[in-house]
Amino acid sequence: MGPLGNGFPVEEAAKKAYLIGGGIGVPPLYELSKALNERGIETVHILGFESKDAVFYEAEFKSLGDTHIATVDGSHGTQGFVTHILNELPKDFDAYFSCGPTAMLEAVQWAYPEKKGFLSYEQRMGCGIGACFACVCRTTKSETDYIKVCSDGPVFQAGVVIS
Amino acid sequence: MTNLAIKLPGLELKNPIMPASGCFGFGKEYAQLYDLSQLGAIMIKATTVETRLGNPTPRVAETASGMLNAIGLQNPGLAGVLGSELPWLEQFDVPIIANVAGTTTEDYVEVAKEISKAPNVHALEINISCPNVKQGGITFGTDPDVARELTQAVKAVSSVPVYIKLSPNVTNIVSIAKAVEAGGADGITMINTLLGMRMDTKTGRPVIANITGGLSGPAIKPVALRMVYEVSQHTDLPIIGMGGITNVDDAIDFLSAGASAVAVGTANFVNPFVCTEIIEKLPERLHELGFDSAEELIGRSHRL
Ligand SMILES: Cc1cc2nc3c(=O)[nH]c(=O)nc-3n(C[C@H](O)[C@H](O)[C@H](O)COP(=O)(O)O)c2cc1C
Ligand code: FES
Repeated sequence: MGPLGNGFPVEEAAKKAYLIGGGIGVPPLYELSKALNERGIETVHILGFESKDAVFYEAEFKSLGDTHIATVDGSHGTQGFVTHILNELPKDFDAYFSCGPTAMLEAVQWAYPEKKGFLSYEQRMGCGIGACFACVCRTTKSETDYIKVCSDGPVFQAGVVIS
Repeated sequence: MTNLAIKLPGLELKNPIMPASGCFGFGKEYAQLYDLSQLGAIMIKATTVETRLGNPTPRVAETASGMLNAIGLQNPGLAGVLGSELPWLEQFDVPIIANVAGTTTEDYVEVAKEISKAPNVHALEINISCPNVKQGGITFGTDPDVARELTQAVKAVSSVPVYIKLSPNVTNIVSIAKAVEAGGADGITMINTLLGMRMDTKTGRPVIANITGGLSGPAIKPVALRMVYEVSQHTDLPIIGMGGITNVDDAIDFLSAGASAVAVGTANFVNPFVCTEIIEKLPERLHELGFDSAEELIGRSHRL
């Protein structure tokens, strides 16, 4: 049995969406992009990897929309992190979806404080069903409020989870 | 008919199988998968006086044949457990063993006194692996005198039998067991997790944010069996054994070593139906081994 929980809310995008992924957070964005394109939403993909060898499905993403690649070592695409690319791109989209390391999700939220965003969190898990308190994160709601990534997520709206 | 029932202080167990504390929350998640009334008992997550938010993450990490955890006793606090978790569990025909934790003797006493009054709490399990803030952070479970005094203090206020949960992180577990027996404990549960670490090979940093964590799962079964075997020879207290149980034969091994019942922890994360599967298989396995009851197995290694 895998983790329970929710997925990306495709219905939240109106016309154009940014899909921002890092490392093992990239593969889930491919299915999401297909689903968005089926609904007639324009997608732009900004994907970050360690190096050229780790780049995943570049051609497939390109067939679905504009695709920008960053690699940490600069062996392919822009050198650095996805945030370096985000700074260069127009903010002409209505929603963004992001999946990747927590530090990247943080940076993406900072890049688009005024936009509607949905972030898929990674957390080391124990039970995967909400019973062991391994995967909790605090939230912005109150000092004592928390979510469990496995059963309440993994997708949360930007501005909710404190990491 | 194979008889699985076991009678222990405060506990009339339909069968000797129960989920271990911290690996089953307060039952809600697993209740969506099966009827909790099938279980011998339920050991609920540790309860502390106040709500606890636990340690920073990562709190868990896989290891060879096991896992490390440093959850940090996250729980909704005494008021939350009494007000919502325990009443919710009343719909099931299953005795609850309430796991009690704290950092001062007063903490333990307060939780034990109040939680033992709940109608479905039939026994307490006192987690003495917590650091004792007043004694400079040594854990209650590593010093026999401290363990005995804590047992006495909790016994004085509890309305139900008290089981003390022993820490394996000691050089002489028998001395701790004897101390809690002298303090008036009604039973022992053992073992809690073994302190361990895992490194991120690339960065050299510990994987667990708390640096160290408690090791559980199949990796610790041999240690747990040895400790149950030793303690059962040196005290008259009944033992609920645990540590790495993942199948019916593991459960039988603990009974043979001297436990009167067993708890299953980490294995619930791998197979959420593990407790009910062990319960289902137990009669047939007992029959194959030539026994008519689970009770006959208890401590059989000592009689050979
Ligand atoms: C994620 C996790 C949380 C735990 N929380 C508690 C706890 O709150 N109180 C306690 O006494 N033991 C706690 N334990 C220890 C278990 O109850 C059990 O003693 C230990 O894991 C050994 O059994 P196992 O190998 O079957 O898991 C926890 C163990 C795990 C893995
Ligand atoms: S992994 Fe156990 S609560 Fe989320």
